[in-house]
Amino acid sequence: MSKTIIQIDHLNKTFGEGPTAVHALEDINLEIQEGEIFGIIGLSGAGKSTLVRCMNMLERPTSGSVIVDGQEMTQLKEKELNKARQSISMIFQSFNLLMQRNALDNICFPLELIGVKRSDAVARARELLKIVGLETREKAYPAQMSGGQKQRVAIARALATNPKVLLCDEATSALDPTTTLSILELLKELNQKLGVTVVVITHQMNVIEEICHRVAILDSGVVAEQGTVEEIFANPQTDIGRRLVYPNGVQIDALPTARVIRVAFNGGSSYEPLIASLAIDCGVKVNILGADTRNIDGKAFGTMLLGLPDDEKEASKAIRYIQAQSDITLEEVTING
Amino acid sequence: MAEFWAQYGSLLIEGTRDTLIMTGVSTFFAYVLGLPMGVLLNITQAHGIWPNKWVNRILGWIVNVGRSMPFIILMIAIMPFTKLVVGTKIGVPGAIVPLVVSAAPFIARMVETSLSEIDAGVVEAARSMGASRMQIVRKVFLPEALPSLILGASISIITILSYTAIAGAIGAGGLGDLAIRYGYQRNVPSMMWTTVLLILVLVQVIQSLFSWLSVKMDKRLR
Ligand SMILES: Nc1ncnc2c1ncn2[C@@H]1O[C@H](COP(=O)(O)OP(=O)(O)OP(=O)(O)O)[C@@H](O)[C@H]1O
Ligand SMILES: [Mg+2]
Repeated sequence: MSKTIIQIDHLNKTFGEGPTAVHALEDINLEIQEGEIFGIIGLSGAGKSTLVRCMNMLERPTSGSVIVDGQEMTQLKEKELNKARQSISMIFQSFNLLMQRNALDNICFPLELIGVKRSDAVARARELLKIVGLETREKAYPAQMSGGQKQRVAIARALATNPKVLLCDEATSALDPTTTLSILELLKELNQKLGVTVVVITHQMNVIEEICHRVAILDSGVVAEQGTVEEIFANPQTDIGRRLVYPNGVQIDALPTARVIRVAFNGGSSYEPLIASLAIDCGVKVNILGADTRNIDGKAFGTMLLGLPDDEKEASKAIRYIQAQSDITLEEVTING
Repeated sequence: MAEFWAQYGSLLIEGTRDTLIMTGVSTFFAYVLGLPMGVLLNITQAHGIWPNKWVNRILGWIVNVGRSMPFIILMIAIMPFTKLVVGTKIGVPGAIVPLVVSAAPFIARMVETSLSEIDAGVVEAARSMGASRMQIVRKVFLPEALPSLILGASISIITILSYTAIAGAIGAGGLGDLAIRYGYQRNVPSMMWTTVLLILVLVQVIQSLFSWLSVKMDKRLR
């Protein structure tokens, strides 16, 4: 079985003191498995950056424990910490390349830090440029590259020391949708080929959907819920979860006052055949009040809100029919007022 | 013209040479002192890579005192110290000590400002890669701030150059000394204007050279 590479226990981080103190993180508990792509999503100010920065001690936790690859990070002395950081790389929203170094020398930078011979460093940097698809741009300076290219150089630089973990803080937030996809593809590929564990911080659900295996939802400094991406998408348990999964919102109070059910698809068939067969097989017509389904790895996930007919008999018939389907769960929605 | 040159030519050459020596040597030693001071001022700030309130305060105070002292007063005030260091209070060596003492704090502030222009994110990235503080200074701060440091150096050099003219007042030699001795004391205006012109040319050359160098070095501009 896979082993835990990042374990966070009772992590707290408070900025400032007294009445103006900001509790950025409160009692965070997380386990990230070796080789997985783990997403952390939340709204702006939720504490995502603070959390990921606590993983490599760019931010010192106020209390709690952070164990990365068997080492208790909060206890490390400066030298040991710098050594540990060689195997926990990080990429950023603003790329943070050295502006006075070209692509090749940017990638050599972390190797220089640990005293790798210049010729070996250059060879390794060329190898990495190839992996990120920029072998022709080794002489280019950051000012001469597009955002996507800069992020590729940053990724190559992050991989130079063969890290076990790659932390990505909003790595695609400054990029357009197409470039975002290509960077996400690259991260996915690196995860598969090199086995590097990837931690992705984002406020965009589609980033999670695209590459993550598991996800934690952060809300005002606490983990609201966590689970596999399928679980969270199919059936978000918390308000914040639903807000993130349905960014356009299903307004519960705007619904008619008839009986409403939420149907969750857990990887079976998509929803259209269900509605059609409801009409054909039971002769019951239902109203689709709202739907948000996605295809993940060719399977349907998501939920749909259905308004049932007023007629009690027809409604129960529909419910029984839906319950009989596999990979579909159903719950009645109570409407306030 | 030929007559003027025959009479004052060797003096002008000597004066120019002395000015260049005083400026060059003083700039060098002022940077030896000022550069580390500027780096320290920057990294000991509250958000620096080595926050240290007391080092920052004390250094800041020393720099402010140094900078608020008019050069001519500083020059006289530290004469015993000058004698101690170079064995004389006058001449070119006698001028170099006060020039260094007065320019170092100025350079420290200039360096501090240049370093503060560096994007905090880049420093953060270096930290995340396990760079030590020393490595961050040597491999991030200084190379990334190089174009700005070069521009700062041109300002420092020209300031020191203008101070050498003041040092001329205590017989330090150089173009300033010539201007005072011939232009003022012996009333040879042509000599005074010639020295002024020479200083002007020096300033122009230094400024153009360093501006060109700064642009050439800056990889952000292309
Ligand atoms: N250095 C700091 N000093 C004081 N407060 C801070 C500091 N860094 C973060 N905070 C506060 O901690 C909270 C969490 O910030 P954080 O940057 O982790 O959020 P985030 O989820 O990454 O947001 P975003 O999506 O906008 O990047 C915010 O309220 C923020 O104001
Ligand atoms: Mg953030």
